[in-house]
Amino acid sequence: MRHIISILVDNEPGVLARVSGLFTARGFNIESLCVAETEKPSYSRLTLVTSGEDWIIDQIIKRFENMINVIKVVDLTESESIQRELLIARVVPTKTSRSEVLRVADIFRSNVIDVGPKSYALELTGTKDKLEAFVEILRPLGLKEVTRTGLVSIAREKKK
Amino acid sequence: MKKFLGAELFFESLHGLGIKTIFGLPGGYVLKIYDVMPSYASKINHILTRHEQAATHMADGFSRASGLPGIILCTSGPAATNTVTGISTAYMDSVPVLIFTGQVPTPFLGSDAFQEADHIGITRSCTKHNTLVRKTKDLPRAIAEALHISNTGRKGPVLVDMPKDVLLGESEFNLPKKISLPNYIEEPKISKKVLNSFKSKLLRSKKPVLVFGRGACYQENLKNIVKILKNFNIPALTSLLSLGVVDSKVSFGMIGAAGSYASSRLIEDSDHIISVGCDIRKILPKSSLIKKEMTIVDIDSTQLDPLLKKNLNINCSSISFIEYLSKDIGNYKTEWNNKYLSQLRIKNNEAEVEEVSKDSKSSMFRILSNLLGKSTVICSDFSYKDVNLQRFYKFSDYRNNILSGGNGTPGYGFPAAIGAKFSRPKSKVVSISTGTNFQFNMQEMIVALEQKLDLTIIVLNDKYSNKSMKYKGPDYKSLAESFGAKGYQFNFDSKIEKNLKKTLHVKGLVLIEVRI
Repeated sequence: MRHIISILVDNEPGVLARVSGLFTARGFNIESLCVAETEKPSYSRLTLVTSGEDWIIDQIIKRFENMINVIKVVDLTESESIQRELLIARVVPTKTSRSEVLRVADIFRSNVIDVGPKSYALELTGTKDKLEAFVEILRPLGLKEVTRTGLVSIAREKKK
Repeated sequence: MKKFLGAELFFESLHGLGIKTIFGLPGGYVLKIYDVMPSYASKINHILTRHEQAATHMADGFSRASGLPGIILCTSGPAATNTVTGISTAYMDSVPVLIFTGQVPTPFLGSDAFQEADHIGITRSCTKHNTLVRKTKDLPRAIAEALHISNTGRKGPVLVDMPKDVLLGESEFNLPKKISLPNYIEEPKISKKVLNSFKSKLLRSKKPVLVFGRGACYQENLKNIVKILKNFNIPALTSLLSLGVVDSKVSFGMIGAAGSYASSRLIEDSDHIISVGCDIRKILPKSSLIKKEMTIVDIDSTQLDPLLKKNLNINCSSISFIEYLSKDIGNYKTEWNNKYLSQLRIKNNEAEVEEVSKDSKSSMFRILSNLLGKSTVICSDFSYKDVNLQRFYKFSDYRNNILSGGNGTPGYGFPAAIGAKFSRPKSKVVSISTGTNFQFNMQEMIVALEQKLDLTIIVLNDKYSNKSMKYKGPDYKSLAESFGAKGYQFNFDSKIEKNLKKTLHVKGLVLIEVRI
């Protein structure tokens, strides 16, 4: 099953290697990983997407909890959290598809962040599915390069 | 305030934390520490070893024999990489060991400088924690924290990497009185709810059995264990590493493939297995556990059972659990038939005698058990023959059974014996290894001789009777004599007991080769 694991860690050198090392040791692949400072500069938040058997993920989370540099670990299930990802795409349209690219960008509420004589750079924020749909539609229109941030996630407010 | 060199801070901190013995070997990046060492010689005893792996094993043996933390000091690169086997050994068996390595000056980190290695990266997976000190003023705090992490919770090795410029820099000496690590859980709290469900589970069970692992091996537990076994009339088993936590006369032996006859019968007949600080799921086959009611008590939450649904997991230290057992259960008696238990004990002894008669060489361990007193520390390597040692030797104190369990390190026994002798100078210490295993660290005989230790090494030369082997290994008697130790040599025959009796209590460093 797919797991989104949110880990609060000390903002120190070597902590990322310590966390990712646990996945290597178990032969797990990390689908996406996003690290940045939090509201407290001494802490970083690490959002990590991986898939595997539930009980093994559970063991990995327990191991995280035992690490000195790890402050908090949460396994965010997809229904109880909000996820977003940022994508930047460079498109080199043909003469006929130039306006079509802009129309697609408009439909997806994507912004043009760079324009050149030959290409556009588009940015888009959304869930994984939305980004994938966007990429698929742009592909025949002259998509050249895509870069994504990986998932960031936060828990929803609990309903009473 | 007075300013100290980083190297002086190293000793001041260790002294402040109550450390008296360190094992190590000098080298380029820690020379400053060795420069200032003479002025601390009265406070801290430094044992010069001949190999860093042996230094780590000595610190490990030092710790296992006494419960005190073991300290290693060595330089960077080859020295630090040499310690990895020893660190891994300590990690596998949760032994509190602190490793101090020298490192290239901070501006040169990561530049492939002379004798540089990424110690933090290399030891990340075999230490409980490791840290690189970047500023001289941080050194005392780093050392205090490392000792705290190493010696609390589930214990384990911690490495502190000290760049040369940190050791040469100057700073005031501030040793933190209280360690505050907000993210570190020293001891998990047990919830009343879990304890209550355990209590009702225990009261329901008719034939429970207690299994103690290395996690239960604390002095604080001994009295309570005796009390529990007596009050509840509950049979106790141990693992390989915890032999002696329950006296061999009371315990029904160790569990596992090489375990006692009684252990397999008891596990089979019981309706509730209570495992305390023992990785029982790795020792016993799944088929023998799957239908059992189990309670697993471990301080490390990752050791608890995530799969078997009938199990109750309790995440707490063995000390608080055993104290709870001895105080809060009230009147409870198991329904074990005393006649059955005493018969089982007799049968167990018969099975042992039968096994010894099949493999006559095992009788040597029984002879040793009879000849050596109760307080003798036995250090050994992990191999087929040495597990036989654990099976047939009668241990009455877990601190006397020193072997590398999880890592199964060859060559562990002899250096561990040297370490054990330093922490328990009044006890007799015997190292028992096969010839091949002894050869891994035999250079450390120099250390034992230099320090004038009374130590007995028994080398079992199993190549001798093997006809297909043309080369019979070195002549261990001459080998010992070439170092300056006393050497004896005899065959394994009917005179073995007489010969051992004559040589076992000779003073000084003694090597006894037994050709089996």
